[in-house]
Amino acid sequence: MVGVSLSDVVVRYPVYSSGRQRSILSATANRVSFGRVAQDVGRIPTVTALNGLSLELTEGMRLALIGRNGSGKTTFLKMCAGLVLPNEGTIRINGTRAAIINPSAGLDPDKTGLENIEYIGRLLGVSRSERKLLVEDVADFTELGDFLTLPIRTYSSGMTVRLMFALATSIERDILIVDEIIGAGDALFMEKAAKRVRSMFSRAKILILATHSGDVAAQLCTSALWLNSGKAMMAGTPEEVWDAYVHQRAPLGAVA
Amino acid sequence: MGTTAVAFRDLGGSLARLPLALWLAWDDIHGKYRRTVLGPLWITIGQAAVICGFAVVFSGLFGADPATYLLYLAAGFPIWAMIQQYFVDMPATFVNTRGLIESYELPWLLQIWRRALGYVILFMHHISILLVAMLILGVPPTLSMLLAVPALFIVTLAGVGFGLTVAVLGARFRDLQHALGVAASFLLLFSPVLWRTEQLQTNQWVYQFNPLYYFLRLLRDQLLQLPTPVEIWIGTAVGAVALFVLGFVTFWVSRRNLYHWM
Repeated sequence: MVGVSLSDVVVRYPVYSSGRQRSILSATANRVSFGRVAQDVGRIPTVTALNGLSLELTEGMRLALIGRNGSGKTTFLKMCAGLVLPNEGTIRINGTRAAIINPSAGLDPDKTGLENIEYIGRLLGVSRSERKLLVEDVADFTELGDFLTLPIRTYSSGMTVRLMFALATSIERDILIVDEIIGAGDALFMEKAAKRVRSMFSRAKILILATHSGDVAAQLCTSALWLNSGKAMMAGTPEEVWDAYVHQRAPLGAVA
Repeated sequence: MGTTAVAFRDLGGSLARLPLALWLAWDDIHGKYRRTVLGPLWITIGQAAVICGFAVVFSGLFGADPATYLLYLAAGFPIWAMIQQYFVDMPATFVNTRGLIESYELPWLLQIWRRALGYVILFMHHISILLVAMLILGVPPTLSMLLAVPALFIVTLAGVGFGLTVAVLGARFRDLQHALGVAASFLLLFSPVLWRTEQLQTNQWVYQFNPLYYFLRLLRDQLLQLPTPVEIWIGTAVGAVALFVLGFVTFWVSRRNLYHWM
């Protein structure tokens, strides 16, 4: 049974502000001197990104994460993707996952488009016969044509985005984790991407989507969670949560 | 799902995907020589030139027989090149593969295997120099050379353990890679790669207390068809297992923070 379950999850991460804090020489000096030397190295501040979240997602749920910058949306996604582990509380994830968090990552600029498709296909464990279909699918979606035989460092940024996006959305997974995507690309591509994402979203068993748009949340999701400073402010239908978020959020000046 | 479950699942999943790691390692080496005519052959040519150069100069310097010295170098250099990679290249593993780790649901340790297998592939390339040298000098290969396979396994297991430790620490401490690079060039002088242990009249602690010597010797003895004391086999095997456990425990304990460090 595909599912994501969080109970009282707390995520903290260290913030390194100076280069010295990333130096093994300074760290050794600090330890050897019992903290007298390089005092900033001994005390590395942490940020609490998520603070006591509990949540249960079952098959068929599509969750929209709403909140201001720095409210913990991306940390939440990274935790669901298995990148970040909670400091306190527990998380259980059942099901295969695909995360579109940093879509610019993973491609090799010196490889041609076709070689990159082959490369990512192998990484994802796609069999030889299915890789052919993958190439057709990606070629069809990206409309890159002959460009696919050129190294992708020769691509424009929009073309790279198209390729990355097609690859990231080509493999079906149970749980789909998406961070405010679809920023680049021309208008025609945006339309096409939105269509593809919708069909992918409809096949995924669980969708977790961070968004800054009430419309996107309402169109794609069945429920929404409003995060503020790592805490759940409100959960409910996308419409009511968005409404509350827009009307009740603290004025800009008070938050900073 | 705690850190422990995640770490062990990562280990199991990465071992199950060793064929993928091997393919990636091949692909990395081909990628590096993509825009060259000779391709990976460049690596071997470079090594051959260095080995011949050293053989000429050092056999004169130490008054040794050039042929024996050539074989000694042709066996020792590839091993050193492999060991050095664990110091120079391995600490950057997690930092350099952050993008892949973020985008695809893959065991993180796969990236460690990928690099280690890449070092083994390069080593195989370099060993061809030794085989050619043996052919020219009329030294027949015997079946005992096959002992190099378990020896290579022990060296690689130890390397993976060490490499995993420094890959985790290298993500946290960004100057570790530079420190280890300096250490590696220093250790080359302290390890009998260019010189032979018999030639060192004093200060023998230099190699006797140098763990690299035993791993180096374990593999080189098999390639040169020399007898290896059983203590060296046992000692290096135990050391390799201990290093592997150390590496895995480091990964396990640090797994929670490792992503933040990258």
